[in-house]
Amino acid sequence: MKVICLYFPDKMRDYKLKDLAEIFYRYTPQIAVHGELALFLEISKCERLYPLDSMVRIIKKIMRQVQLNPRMAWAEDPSTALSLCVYQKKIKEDLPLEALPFYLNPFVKDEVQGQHLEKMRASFARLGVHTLRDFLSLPVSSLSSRFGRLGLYLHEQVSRPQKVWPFFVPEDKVIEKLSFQDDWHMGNLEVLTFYLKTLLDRVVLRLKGRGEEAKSIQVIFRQEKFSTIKNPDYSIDVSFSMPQLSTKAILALIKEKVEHALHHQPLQGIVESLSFEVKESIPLLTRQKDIFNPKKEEHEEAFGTLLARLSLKLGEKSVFQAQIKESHLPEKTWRRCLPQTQVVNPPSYATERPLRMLQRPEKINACQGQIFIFNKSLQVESLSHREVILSEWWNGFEERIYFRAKTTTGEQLWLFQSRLGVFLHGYFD
Amino acid sequence: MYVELLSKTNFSFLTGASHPDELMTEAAKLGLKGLGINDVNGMYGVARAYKAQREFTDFRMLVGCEFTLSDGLPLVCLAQSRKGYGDLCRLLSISHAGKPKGLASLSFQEFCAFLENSHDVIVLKRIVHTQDQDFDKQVGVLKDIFKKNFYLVLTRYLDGFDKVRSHKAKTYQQRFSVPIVASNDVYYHVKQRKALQDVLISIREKKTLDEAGGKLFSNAERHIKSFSKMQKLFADEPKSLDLTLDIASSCHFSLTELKYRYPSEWIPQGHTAQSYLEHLIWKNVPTFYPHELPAPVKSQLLHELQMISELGYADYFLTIYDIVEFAKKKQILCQGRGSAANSILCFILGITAINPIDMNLLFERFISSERNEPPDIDVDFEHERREEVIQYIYQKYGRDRAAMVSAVITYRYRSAFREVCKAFGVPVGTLSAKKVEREFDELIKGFEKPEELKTQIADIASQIQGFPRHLSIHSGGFTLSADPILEIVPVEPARMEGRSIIQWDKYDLDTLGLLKVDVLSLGMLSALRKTLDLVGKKLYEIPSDDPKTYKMIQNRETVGVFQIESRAQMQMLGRLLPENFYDLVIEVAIVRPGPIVGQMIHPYLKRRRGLRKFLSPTKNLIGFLEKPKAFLCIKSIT
Repeated sequence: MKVICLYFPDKMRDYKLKDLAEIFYRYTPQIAVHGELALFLEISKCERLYPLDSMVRIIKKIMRQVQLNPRMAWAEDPSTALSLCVYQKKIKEDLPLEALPFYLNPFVKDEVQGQHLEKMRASFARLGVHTLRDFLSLPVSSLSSRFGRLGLYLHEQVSRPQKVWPFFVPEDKVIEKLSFQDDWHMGNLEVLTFYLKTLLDRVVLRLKGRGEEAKSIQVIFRQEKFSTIKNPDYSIDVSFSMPQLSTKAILALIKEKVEHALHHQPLQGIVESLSFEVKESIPLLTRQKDIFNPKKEEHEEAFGTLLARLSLKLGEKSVFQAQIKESHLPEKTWRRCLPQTQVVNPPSYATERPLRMLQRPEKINACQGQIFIFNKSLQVESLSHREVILSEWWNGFEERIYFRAKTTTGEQLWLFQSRLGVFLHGYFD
Repeated sequence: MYVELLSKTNFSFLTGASHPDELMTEAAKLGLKGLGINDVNGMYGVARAYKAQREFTDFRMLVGCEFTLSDGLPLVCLAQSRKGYGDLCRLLSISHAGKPKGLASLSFQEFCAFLENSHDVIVLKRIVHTQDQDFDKQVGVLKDIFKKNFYLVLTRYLDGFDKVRSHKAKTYQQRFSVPIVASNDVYYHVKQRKALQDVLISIREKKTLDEAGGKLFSNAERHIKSFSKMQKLFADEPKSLDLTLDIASSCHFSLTELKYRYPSEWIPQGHTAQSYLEHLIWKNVPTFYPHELPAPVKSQLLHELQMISELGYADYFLTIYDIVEFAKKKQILCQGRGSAANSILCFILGITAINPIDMNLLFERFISSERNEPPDIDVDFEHERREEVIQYIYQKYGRDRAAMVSAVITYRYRSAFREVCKAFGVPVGTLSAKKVEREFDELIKGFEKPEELKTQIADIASQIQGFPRHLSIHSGGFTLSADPILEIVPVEPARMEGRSIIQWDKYDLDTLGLLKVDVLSLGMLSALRKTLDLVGKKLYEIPSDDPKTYKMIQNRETVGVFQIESRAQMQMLGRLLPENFYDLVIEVAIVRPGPIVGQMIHPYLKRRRGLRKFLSPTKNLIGFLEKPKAFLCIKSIT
């Protein structure tokens, strides 16, 4: 077993260690938290993917991102790792006897046994036993006669620690909050961007850890309670047409939305805190990282952001990504899809289709070589490229006989004849 | 005029959407000169198509098949002669060998190597619109090997690629000097079958209709088209239509040429099959009639021998005799049943145990020159030892001359309904066909226009009813031949390990006049064998007129007695009160769906008790009708 321990000596404001633990969920599923004191990551099972040195680098990078500076140590067991962190030693044997409570249970502080331990430690001090090295050199039989079961247990745990890890369950919702120490009045949007980014970094890291992408985020400004403010929570919902997982992309989208909302309905009072809540998320579609073409991923990400921004402005129904779908009916050869859906090659059974196709076939009048389209009369010069389509009869579609009609004015129209008449379906350029 | 060279029957499983007879009838109706039947990897549908074709004059059937290639597009072959047909059958058997049931494929090289020296096969390759690098190479090789017997098929599917294919056809024609022949590549006889075909493909692909996408054809043009329609379609290529007639006239093979010869090497020298049969009969007669042969028996024997001689069935009787003799030698209990019991010849040969003269049975029910049907002798063997008999047949005739007959498993309405439901996306899950039908309204609750959907599904399911689904092993049918069976019909592996089956079922064999030997298994014979061993008696030592036994039967004490142990039979026994063996025959025959539904039981019982008289239409029939009390539909079970 190999355990990394992150020890947080200072109490964290606006941060729960359990939330922070979620960030590491993608690296190792074996995570444990000791109250608000320490975080344990068991890395021996994922060591082939993330060796110790790279794991340490990753942790340091993440800690920089979330602006935290914990102490870090690694050992063969959680008790030793925590003790090394707390007492800032390099070797287990150099640890002082004060570390013994961590060997009792590294995940939870045991108050009752702690008192007994304190007595035991005092006895040892009187006997000149100060470090774990000294403790381990004591004969086991003398421990049992002096300290009973607890003494024996401790000796066993220090020499061969064996602990059952608690089961880690992530929070139901991803909520991140930032309280302002000094009352902050919404005046400068650039400053707001700074705060938003700080929070978003945390949200994104947690989502990545959970293997999810954000589909909808709620931004809440909690205002100071005054009698004039009916609802101190000023919330803005931002939903994305495409799920997002990039701080940069989400920040741009949220910033636009927040600016727009604040412009139309400014805040009424001093902001006490700012929080983000992920209202809707979807599982992240994982795939192999393209190490030879990193720009492709960046391009795809930028494209996704563009789509999301467009849909925020134009409405979700107007902007979407499409994918080829196998169907003989021309109007049914595509469907909406998620941005990272695999690209489908055009099917070989379909022949050339017009560049501009009408969303729905338009019924037109045709009579003796003349066709009437949108109150315009056109003379058909020739009909070619006959194609018969009878598909999706189970959805009520009937046989269509398609032609490419060339008009005297040079237009090339895609028409079809069915039992219901003549229809225009597209224009060839 | 024109001949459609490419067509698939519904024996191209879950691909073709018309029965063979529908295709033949439609082609003849449209005035076509002929129709080529080429099912995928088999000769499955040709026998049935041949049966339909015989109804029409001046209409030909071209026998062929389509080979699936592992490294290229499928190739269609047509047999020009009996030799060509034999070659195709052999190659089909090779393509199936060693593959899981229902699968077959060859490499292009294997195909060419096998047919390289066959000059009696027409090879057709469809021109496709897609790019295929191997296509050019293969066309060159095929042209070199088959020379004038190789054609490229140009199709006009009206799918938007007709021009592409036409352009390719011209290029190949110029480059390789390969003649182009027109075809509509038929999958169903009429346009209306498009819906059915789409559903079949969905079932085959295990996808719903919505998901099937490009697997389905884009239109309903793959039906048999009249000459005038084809003329319009191929107005720029009239020669390609004329060429179909040339090909058809060069293919002079017909299934009538499948002259069937029974293996006869074991018949002693100096004997023909007929003379040897007669020799055996007269040799066996004293066993049954030690003193004097009664005149009626003699005249019946002579009559039967005469008819067998006329119809040429002596070999068949000898084969059955040989198998029965083997079983007797090995002390395997066996018994001929069915209409064979009507023959005194079968009795004398020891195939059946009932003397038809004593029972007043009609020989013409077994063989009749008017009916022109081959005889069918069903012989039951002990179920635990039937395998010994099967192995004996394989050993005696060799695996290349003996093969088991297949049974075509067809869709029943209920199973078809379930499959069609799946194609339409109805969530049937693991529900049984019966439950799907029962809970259908519940299953389609969320669908738009449920009534319309119900009609559509029911309509297509009723069309699929009777469609072949796959081949299975017949319960015991063997076909034997003096010539290699592989040259008569392709053989393919069955699901059961070590078993292979021919691609035709018993009806196909009947159509083609090929004889089948039934080696059936019966559990009751095993039980009898063990019982006889226990009591230390022979079967013939058990009397058929033991009064105590009949008393027990009349008292319905028949639990565990073969044929008369069911509740329905026991109920009838109390009313019919059988007194002799013939009464038991009546008993077994009358408790069947036909007589029950036909309300014959009460009238029969009344006539039997003399409460009602029966009238014979003519005096001549009185003797014949008296015993069954004028109920001719009663099936005699002996």
